[in-house]
Amino acid sequence: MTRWRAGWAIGAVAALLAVPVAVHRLDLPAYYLVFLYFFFFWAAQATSWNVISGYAGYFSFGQGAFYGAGVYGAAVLIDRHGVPYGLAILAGAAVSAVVACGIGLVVFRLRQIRGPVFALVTLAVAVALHSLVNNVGYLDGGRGIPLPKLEYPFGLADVQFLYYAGLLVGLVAVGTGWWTFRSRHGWGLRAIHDDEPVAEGLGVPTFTYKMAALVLSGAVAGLSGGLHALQVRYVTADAVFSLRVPLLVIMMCVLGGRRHWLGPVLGAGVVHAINDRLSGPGLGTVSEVLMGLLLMVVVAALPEGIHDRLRERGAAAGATGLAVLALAAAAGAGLLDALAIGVGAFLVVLVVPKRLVGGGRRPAGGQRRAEAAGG
Amino acid sequence: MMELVQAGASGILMGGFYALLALGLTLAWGFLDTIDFAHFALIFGFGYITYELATRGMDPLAVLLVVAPLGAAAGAGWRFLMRRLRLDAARSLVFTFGVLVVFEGLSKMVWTADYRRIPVAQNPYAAGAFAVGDLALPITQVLSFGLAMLVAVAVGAWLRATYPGKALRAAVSDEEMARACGADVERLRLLMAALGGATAGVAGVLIAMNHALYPNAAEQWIGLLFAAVILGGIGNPAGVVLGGMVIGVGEAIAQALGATAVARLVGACALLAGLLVRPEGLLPSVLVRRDR
Repeated sequence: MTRWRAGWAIGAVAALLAVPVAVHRLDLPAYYLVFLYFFFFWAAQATSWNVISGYAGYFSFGQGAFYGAGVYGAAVLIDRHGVPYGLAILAGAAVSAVVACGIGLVVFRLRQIRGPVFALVTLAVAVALHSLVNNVGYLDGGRGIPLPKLEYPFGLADVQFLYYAGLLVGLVAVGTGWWTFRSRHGWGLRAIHDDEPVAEGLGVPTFTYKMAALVLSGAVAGLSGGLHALQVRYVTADAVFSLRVPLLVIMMCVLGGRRHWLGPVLGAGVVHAINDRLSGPGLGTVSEVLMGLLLMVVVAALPEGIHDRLRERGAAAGATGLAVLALAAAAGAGLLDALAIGVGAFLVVLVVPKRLVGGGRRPAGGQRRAEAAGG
Repeated sequence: MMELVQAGASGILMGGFYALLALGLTLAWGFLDTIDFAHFALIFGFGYITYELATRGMDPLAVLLVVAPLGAAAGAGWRFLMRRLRLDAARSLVFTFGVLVVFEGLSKMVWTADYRRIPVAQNPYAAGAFAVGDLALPITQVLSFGLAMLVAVAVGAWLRATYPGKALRAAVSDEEMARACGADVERLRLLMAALGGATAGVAGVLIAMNHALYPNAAEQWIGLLFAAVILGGIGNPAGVVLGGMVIGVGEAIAQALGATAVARLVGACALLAGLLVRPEGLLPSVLVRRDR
C-alpha cells in the first residue's frame, strides 16, 4: 500500500518535471506553465496555513503577513542591496519565520488567545505590517518596488525557471506538511486542536509544538512569497497585503480538508482551477462575488472538507468530473476552461448528495470537534 | 498643548463613533456566538441607502427614522438564517466573511468602485461644528458619540437589570439551564440581533454623512473595530465604548504629534498591548462563561 502510494508520488513528480519539455516540443501555450506555477504557489501557501490553522486549529487570518514578509524580504534585498535572487528568497523565508516567531512568543504565552481572538490578532498583525511597509521608505513607502529583469541558469526562460522553482518550493511545502502530519509533532498538533487543556495534561508540550508549527508555517509561506516576488516583478503593498491571499488560502483549506496534508493541495487545485478562469478581463467583480458565495456554501455544507468526502463518493465525483471535462473539451472549450468546468462538476457531486441524503445534519463528532475549535 | 487637548477631544468623539460601529459586533459575538463580518455589509449597505436617499433631497437625519427599523428587521432576519445554519464562532467568521466579500462585489456592480459622498448641499451637518471654548467639535461626531453612549448605556442597563437581559446572560453561561428555567432564549436572541441591526442602520447613516463610501471601505475598519471589541471585553457594551475611545484618542494624539504612520498602527498595538495586560478585556466582564 505504502509502496503503491510512493509510486504515485514519484510518477506525479516525474510527469510535472516533464511538462515544460512537452509544452516546448508540442508548441502548446506557455500559459499552461504559468497556470501550474500558480497551482504550486497556492498549494504551498495553503499547506503553510494548514500546518498551524488546520492541524492545530489555530485559525489565522494573517497569511498575508507571512506571505508579505517573504515577498518584501526578497524584493528589498534584490532591489536595494543587489543580493542574488536565490539568497534573497531564502532570506525572505527567514524574515517570515522571524515574524512568525515574534507573533508566537507573544500570543502563545497567553492562554486566552485562542480560536477567534487568534484569528483577529493575526489579522491585526497583517494590517500593521501593511501600514508599516506603506509608510517606511526603505521597505516601500507607497511607491512599490519594480524588480530588474533577472538572468536564470541553463538559459531557462522566465516562465520555465519559475515553473521549476515553483515546483521545488511546492514540493518542499507539501513535504513539510506531510512530514509534520505523520510525525509525533502532527499528532500533538491534532491533540491541541481537539482539546488543548487535555493534551497539555497528557504531556503534549503544547507551547513548543505550536511555536514550531507557526514558525514552519511562516518559513514556508515566506519561501513561496519570496519566489512569488520574482513572478510578480512589480511588488506593491496594497496588492501583497490585500485580503485576497488569506481569503483564498482559507477557502482552499476549508474546502480541501484541514485535518490531512492532502486537503490543502486538493483545495488549491480546485479553487485555482475555477478562480483562474473567473479572473479574466472584466470578470474581476463577478469572480469576487462567486468566490464569496463558494466560501459560504463550502463552510455551511462541507465543514470537514472534500478530502473526507472523497472516501465516500470520490470515485463517482472523479468520474463525473472527468466525463464533464471530456464533454466540454469535445464541445470545443479550451483545455483550462474544460478543466474548470470539470472541477465544478466534481465539486457539485461532492457537495449536493450529502445534503439530500443526510438532510443537512452533521454527525455529532463533527459538531463536537467544531465546537472545540471555536472556543 | 492646545493641539493635544483638541486631539484628545476629537479622539474621544471618534472613539464614540468606533463604538457605535462596533456595538453590534460585540453583542453578536458575546450573545449570539457569531463573529459577524456581515455586520460591515449591513453598515455599508445602509450607508449606500443613506447616500441614495440624501442625494434625492431627504435630510440625512430623517433617513435615520427609515433606516433604524430596517436595520432591526435585517438583523433579526439575519439571525434567523444564521440560527438555521448552526455555525460555531470560528465557522461563522468564515461564513460571514464570504457574505462581506459578496456584498463588496455587488456594491461594486451597483455603485462602481468610485468614491461616493453625499453632496454638501444635501448634507448640512458635515461641515458644522459646535464650539466649546477653543475646541471645535464636529456635529456629526458629537451626534454619533451621543448615540453610541445612549445605546451602550441603555443596553448595559438592560443586560444588567432587566429580566430579558439577565436571561440572555444566563443563556451564555449555561444555555440548557436557562431554557429549563423558562427563558425563551431564541426569541431574546432575535431581539438582541434586531438591536444590533438597528445600531448598524444608525452607523450606516453616520458613516455616509462623515465619510466617502466605496466598495472595499469596510476593510479599513475591520481591524480597528475588532480591536475595540476585544479590548473592551467581548459582549460588553460599556467596554466597547472604552475600547473605541482608547484607540480613538491614541490615534488622534499620534496624528497631532505628526506621526501619521504610527496613527494607523494604534489599533493593532492597542489590541496586542491590551491582550498582554488584560486578556479578558479592560472592564470586568458582563458574561460568566462556564469553562468547557
